Amino acid sequence: MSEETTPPNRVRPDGGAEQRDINDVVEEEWVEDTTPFERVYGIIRRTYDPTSAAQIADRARVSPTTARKHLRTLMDSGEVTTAQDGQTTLYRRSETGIVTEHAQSLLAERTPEEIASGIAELKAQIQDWRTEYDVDSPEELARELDIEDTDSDQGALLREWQTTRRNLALAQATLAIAEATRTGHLTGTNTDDDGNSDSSIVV
Amino acid sequence: MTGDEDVEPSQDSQPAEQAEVFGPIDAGALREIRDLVINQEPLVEEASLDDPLNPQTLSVDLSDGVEAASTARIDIRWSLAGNYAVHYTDTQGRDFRFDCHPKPDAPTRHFHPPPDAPSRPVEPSCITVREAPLVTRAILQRWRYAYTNGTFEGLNDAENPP
Repeated sequence: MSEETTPPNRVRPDGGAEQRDINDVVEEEWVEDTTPFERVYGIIRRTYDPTSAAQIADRARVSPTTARKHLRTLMDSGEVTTAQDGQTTLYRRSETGIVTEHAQSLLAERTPEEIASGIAELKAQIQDWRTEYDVDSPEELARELDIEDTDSDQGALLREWQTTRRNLALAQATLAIAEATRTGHLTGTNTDDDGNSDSSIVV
Repeated sequence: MTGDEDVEPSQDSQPAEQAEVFGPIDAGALREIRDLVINQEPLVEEASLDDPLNPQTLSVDLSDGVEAASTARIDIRWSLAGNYAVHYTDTQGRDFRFDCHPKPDAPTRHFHPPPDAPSRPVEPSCITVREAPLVTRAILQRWRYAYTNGTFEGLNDAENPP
């Protein structure tokens, strides 16, 4: 995604002239630096619970009509999925969108081989936690420990375990995409490879 | 929903049964924040995820610190539920944190003041915006305030001139 097109480090001509609430200032900057579509896309990319177009519009600082228009576009491209709540359509980031975004970033930084060995490490880490705390999941751990403060060591462990579990799922999906890309079977660009060659990545 | 106002937990974006936890880290949000920070703050020397495959924290290294500090670092966590923890530390051993997550008997958005950012007591945070790009800009704006003025005084005051 090209979010780096805004000119870096602009000095605001009116900077420091008057006392203004920073929350208002950063909101104005954001609206100036981005298009309505970029803001709607930015918000929905981080929206994992079904949310109305009116709420998305409010958060993206656009009109509900504009939000609906861009959300429909993003739905057509698979970035967004919907659910019905009576008369109201609720929108959220689609699993396809989540996996695609993650795979793109990860494959830019790591080779499929590195991802494969990383997956083994994440699995081992999760198994270590299961053994050490004698529970199957971070949720079971949370119930047993009755974690009150997310700032605590126990809160940090819970967060780390839940994060590792999610990143494991994302890494596995990324590896599957990398493998499908390598064989070329999805696009028909490499029909020689039957997927059983020695260079295949062991998942 | 009223956008940036403080709302009841039931109206928050996170499901009720998840309300008391920070929740899993959002790798995509960390990358988005990384790119914005690099773009916005000239003193950023490096901004990187601790582990690309299993990121838990974005660390932003700054080539200068507040007042006598020669360098500083800002560590950022951001969860799927929109919870965050932002921790400044410098070579003079000064720390402060701008956080947003459930904390018993404390506001969800809270500030752990310098010089040592204790777990308690905390103050209500001056940062009331919610979206990642807005919170990131607000954090950078508060860091710039402290850096430019050479003081932590008034750091958690939203109405200091930018």
